[in-house]
Amino acid sequence: MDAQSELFRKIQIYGFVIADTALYLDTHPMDPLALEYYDRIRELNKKAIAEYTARYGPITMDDVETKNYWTWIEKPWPWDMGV
Amino acid sequence: MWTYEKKLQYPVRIKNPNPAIAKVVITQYGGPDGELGASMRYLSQRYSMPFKQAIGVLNDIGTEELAHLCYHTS
Repeated sequence: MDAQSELFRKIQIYGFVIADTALYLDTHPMDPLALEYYDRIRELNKKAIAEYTARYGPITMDDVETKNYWTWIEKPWPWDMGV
Repeated sequence: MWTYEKKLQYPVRIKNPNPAIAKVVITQYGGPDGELGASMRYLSQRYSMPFKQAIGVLNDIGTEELAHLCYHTS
């Protein structure tokens, strides 16, 4: 796996962990361990996304660098792999 | 990936219940020419577009149509 795919994989994993922890917190909103865990993964996720965005381009529209070109429409889209 | 915001695009205040208008609204929502159908058409037609500008705009309009499903239920 190249460096880009590896970093992206990390972000996918953090995303899954965040979504799953959020489901738990929906029904256990005062669990201190889960809150601390959510916070920790969220920070790791933020860092990984910042690093990925700086190196390879935006994952969300919010992260588009608007210097002189709208990079949002650049290929490949993640669901176009193998086409 | 799907995310949502705790924010309405346009808050609607219903003053009087009106079943006739409700029928129109629910058709605009999930009917053959409604928001749900529109979003699915944009998001599937993107795949046969030859240019990245068209792919991008269909993707973003389709996403916007999905967002309209949220504000109707508010």
